[in-house]
Amino acid sequence: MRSLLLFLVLSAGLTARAQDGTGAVPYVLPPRALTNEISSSLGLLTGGYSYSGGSWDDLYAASVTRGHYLFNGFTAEAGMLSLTPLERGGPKMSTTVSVRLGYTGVRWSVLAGPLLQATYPSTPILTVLPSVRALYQWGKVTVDAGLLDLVGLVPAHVGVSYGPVGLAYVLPLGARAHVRIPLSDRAGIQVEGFAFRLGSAHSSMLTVGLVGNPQSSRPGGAP
Amino acid sequence: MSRRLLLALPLLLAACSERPSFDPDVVKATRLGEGLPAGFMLGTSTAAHQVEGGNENQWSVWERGQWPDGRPHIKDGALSGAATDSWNRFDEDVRLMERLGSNAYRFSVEWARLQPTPEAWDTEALARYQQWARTLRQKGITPLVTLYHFTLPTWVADTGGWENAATLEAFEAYVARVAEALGGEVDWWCTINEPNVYAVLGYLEGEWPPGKQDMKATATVLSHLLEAHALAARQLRLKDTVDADGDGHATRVGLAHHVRVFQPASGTTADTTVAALTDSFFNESVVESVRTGRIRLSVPGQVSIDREVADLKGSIDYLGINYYTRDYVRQYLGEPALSRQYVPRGREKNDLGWELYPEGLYLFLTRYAKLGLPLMVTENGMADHSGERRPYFLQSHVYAVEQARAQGVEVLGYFHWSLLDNFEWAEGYEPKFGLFAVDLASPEKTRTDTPAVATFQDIARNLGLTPLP
Repeated sequence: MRSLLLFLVLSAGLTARAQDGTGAVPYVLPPRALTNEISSSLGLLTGGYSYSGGSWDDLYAASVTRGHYLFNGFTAEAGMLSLTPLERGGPKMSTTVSVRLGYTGVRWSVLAGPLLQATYPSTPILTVLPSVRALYQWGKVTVDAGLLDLVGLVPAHVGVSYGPVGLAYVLPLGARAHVRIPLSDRAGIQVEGFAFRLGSAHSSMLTVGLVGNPQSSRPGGAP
Repeated sequence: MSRRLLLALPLLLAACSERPSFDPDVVKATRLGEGLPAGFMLGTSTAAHQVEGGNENQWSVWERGQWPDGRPHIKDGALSGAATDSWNRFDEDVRLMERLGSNAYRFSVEWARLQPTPEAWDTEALARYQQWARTLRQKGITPLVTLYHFTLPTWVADTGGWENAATLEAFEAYVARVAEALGGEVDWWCTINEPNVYAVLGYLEGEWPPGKQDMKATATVLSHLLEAHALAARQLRLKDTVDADGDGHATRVGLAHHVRVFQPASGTTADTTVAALTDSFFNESVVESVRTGRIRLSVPGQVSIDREVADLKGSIDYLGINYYTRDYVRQYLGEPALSRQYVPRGREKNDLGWELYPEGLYLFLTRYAKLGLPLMVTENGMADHSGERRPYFLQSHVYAVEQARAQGVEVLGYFHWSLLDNFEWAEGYEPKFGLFAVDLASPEKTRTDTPAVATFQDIARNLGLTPLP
């Protein structure tokens, strides 16, 4: 086993030297199902519940910042969601932070981790829930599924993306969609939204923001 | 879906969420009572165990008990005991009602007093209740009689109370007897007071007898109480065939449904979902059951009841609404209800920490108007030791009723909780809900005006009633 590790370390050193342009064979990054990405969006969210003949709804300004970074295949993802009520005397402002870790292969990725949701003043101030997301890729087509994705806002979904456009079914009744409008090779405008019902609860959101793909300093992480 | 439509969707939803704004200056400037129709019932509410005194039932047994850590079941260690002695001071209480200018009074009859054992009936007690109803009518005060207000005879509680289906039969027999005796004087009936509160506090939160924390038992008790309501409604219509007030109806049957606004603590999906679940169980399930005749109670992973109940559909002639406050709901997996409820700092509250939120009454009246049945505010009040804040509380909630009526909602009456300070269940005697304060230490249980008496009288005068000096 020790000799295998030594071999892997030496191999990594050789391939890294091949990138300096003096060698005959240029290094080609292995493709992966995810690339480094960071995005920040603003929008509106409505949430509440229905009863026979009516509903209770609150309106919020939503701010979502997310990013994931690949260290070779190991992937770290972080997200922060802020919901600010737009009417006085109702719900309180909340901030949710998600941290998910996992692995991204050539065709697939699995990420899981906790959601830390804070509201002040409230009882309790902080709650913790799990979150998970998995995807599989065939060329430009990606199938993905998740629980409490989008920093905890989407309860459960199964979706498909083709290039910059994605559409998902949100369980038990709803939909989620996103589209990326390119501004350059590494940046674009992202429009994202969802609407769903879960029992008598309902929620919908629409955000617009910027998304970018920072260049990786490590092999295996560039787009 | 076009991008324009996607952008417009949240704004459209926001427009739909418009809520009334109750500016205190507007409320205070309104001549309250003028927006209410002639014949509107303006009254007060009490319950037997809280005011009569001398009752021996499952609650009085509970009052003498302790929690495992030695704390008494009742916060201040109080026993209901003699309460406000209204059993012996009814005429004095009627005099207070006349001074208010009220034209209606909601009180309950005590099952344990009337039927202390399965075989024994206290005919004298039954005759006294009959006399009370007669006295009220003679004074121009419409009696609204509640048949079950949280207390059970000990012989019923000892055999499982509302968890035991056999209690339904016993309750039906009791109702039949009361309806026969009081039917000549009473047209307005309330079968069950706050079935959801009794089920939740007794069987989910465990703060009331029998002190259980069991979601399945909670649902069973709630379903039995709804079935008991249907049986009671049937007996009332069978046995009370006298139209006492000559309005063409011998019986007007309802139940008093306790409602609370459940405000999601935040916009997160978790908080929104548990608020929805709580609203569905607490506010919606009772009303849906009497509307459809089918009891549907569901808490994911814990309980599921779905059954049709004979005579439940169409069992009410009006829906009674007991409204006090709004709760914030926060997801918390450590509780059987999957949530915690609280009132955030900074909100105006009563002495029990309940938020003062008069808009909530308006929201529930407009919400339940869609049932197509008349509504009655059967309870609404605030714990206010000083009595100084109660006048505005009363004004703002009567304002809410007037706003609802202005929207076309058929609200038949408003009963303030309460006529007198009284025994507030697990909270003991500390909370003061009365329009009239009671000196519990005095042998005469002296009744004294609080500032809200004048407010009530103003509303009564504007309604065309005449408070006596």
